[in-house]
Amino acid sequence: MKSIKRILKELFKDPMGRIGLIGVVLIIMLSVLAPVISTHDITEMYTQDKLREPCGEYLFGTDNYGRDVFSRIIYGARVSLEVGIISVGIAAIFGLIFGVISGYFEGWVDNLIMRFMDILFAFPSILLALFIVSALGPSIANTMIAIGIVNTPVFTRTVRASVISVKSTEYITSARSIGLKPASIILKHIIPNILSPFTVQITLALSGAILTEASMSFLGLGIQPPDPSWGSMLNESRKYMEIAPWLAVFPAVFIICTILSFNILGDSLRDVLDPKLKL
Amino acid sequence: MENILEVKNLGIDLVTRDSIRRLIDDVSFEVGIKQSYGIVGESGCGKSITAMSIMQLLSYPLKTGKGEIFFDSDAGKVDLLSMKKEIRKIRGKEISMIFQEPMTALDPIFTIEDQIIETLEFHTNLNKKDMRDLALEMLNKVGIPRAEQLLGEYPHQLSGGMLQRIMIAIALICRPKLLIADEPTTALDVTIQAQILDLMNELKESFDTSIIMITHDLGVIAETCEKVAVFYAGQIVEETDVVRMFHGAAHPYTSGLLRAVTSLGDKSKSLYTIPGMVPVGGYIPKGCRFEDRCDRAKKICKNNPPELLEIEEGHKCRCWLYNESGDEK
Repeated sequence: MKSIKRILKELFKDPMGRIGLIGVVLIIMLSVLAPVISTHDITEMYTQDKLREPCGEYLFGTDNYGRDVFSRIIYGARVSLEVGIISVGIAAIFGLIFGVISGYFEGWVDNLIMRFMDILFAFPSILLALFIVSALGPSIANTMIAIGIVNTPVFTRTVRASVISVKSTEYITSARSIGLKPASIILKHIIPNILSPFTVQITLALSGAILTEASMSFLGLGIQPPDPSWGSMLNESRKYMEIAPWLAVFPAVFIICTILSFNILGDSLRDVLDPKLKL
Repeated sequence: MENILEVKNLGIDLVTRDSIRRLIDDVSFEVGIKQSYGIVGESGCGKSITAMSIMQLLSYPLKTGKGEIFFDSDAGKVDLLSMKKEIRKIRGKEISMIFQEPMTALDPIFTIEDQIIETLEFHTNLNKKDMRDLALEMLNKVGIPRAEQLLGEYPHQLSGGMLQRIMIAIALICRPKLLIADEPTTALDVTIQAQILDLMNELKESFDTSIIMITHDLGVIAETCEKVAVFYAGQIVEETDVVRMFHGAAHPYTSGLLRAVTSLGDKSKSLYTIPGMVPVGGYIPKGCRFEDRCDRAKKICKNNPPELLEIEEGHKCRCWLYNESGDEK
């Protein structure tokens, strides 16, 4: 607990870290408070107000069905975060399990796991995600699973590399020399010592996952209507780009800001957590 | 059994995908009860991996290829090399180890208390309070001031000498029969070295522990050991008691090592070195392994490996100079 407080303090000292942290907190607040903040029902079509410009009543205007863009964007933040957190959670858990097994035991297990991860790595991530979703059928749950699978190899590699470097330290030999079992060495000494690269990877993967979800929704294989998603809103805006540019601008701005915040936070977190860079 | 540990014909291999190279060949020695046994040699001669193999701590790609290591455990005489999971009961309880780098031998994210208690948690059934008391008692024994306060500190807050004392406390807390010290003073500065060695000598007496002291520093050997084995390129080249090593070394390598020791007040312009390099792991010459660096090499040394023979009582040497069968050639 004390160290979390210290990390937050140091993040706040770094100007970039501050921007990232504030951005991320704002997005989280938006999605948590979505029902309070949103001004209209997100599926309600105000047919007399189609394609209205931004004004006092409709802050970000309305779309071709007359739905309030502001409210849809707020709820879209919720969807993005949900997909991001759950899919990164899936990837992180499997990545941790595979990475630790691979790095600690080495030998043929390592070879088997890493070659499988190499196969997953060989596909462009969006293509692999699209392939998985088209096999499972498009839905919000399948989108999360697909993004989770796509991100697993990155986690496996990060974790494995850190495990190997921690494993060769003397305190691990020392832990073995007092008679600890492999399971307790892994749980007590190895996993706590790889948490910093792991946390950094989580923040960086979150932005990637949100972006992948947006791209998939843009292509029509992610979040399905009428659920709001920044990606699908962008997609729908294409036809009206000339007469109603706000339809494209607002989702795009939100995607950019979210990704940027998470990336900046990740970078700054890495600086804070990596003792080698702090010298 | 009067010996606590008997190593017989130990061989350690470096296993790569397409070859097996023997790094340690035919190493045998015995450590007596309450004896301090020194292992000395240059970097890369195999001292450390020999020590690691005793507790089966070698990891891929190193493997013990042959031999037996008998240990006089609580449950009677056992072969450590043939043990599987049961060896965990011996590690830390009956045999424990001190490492070279005290700064990295403790886990940076746990407090000193956690790390001392970890051994006890695994090997005893004491409750938290008793473990803490025992930890405090051990810290006092290894001469640490303000022990109470120090229990809550992290390794990075302490100096190398302090950490090495803590390592010794952890190693001795279960009162092991054998303590393996792998270059325990190499990373420390000279004054601290002397303190640590004194401490180890003292504790050895009060705990009735046998010690295997691995070092490249002959001063450490002189200070702590009774019997010494000199390692060269994965073999024991000479084994004798400590007095005889300093005053009547037989093997040319041992005499070379002794000549290379510098003493205060030595006015000679350059330091003595043994010419050449240790043969790189596994690529060993056909004859005597020291032949190309030896100033007393004979013809026979080139192609015939010498045996480790007893040249007088309690003094073994692996050299053709002391082997009569080699004289005529």
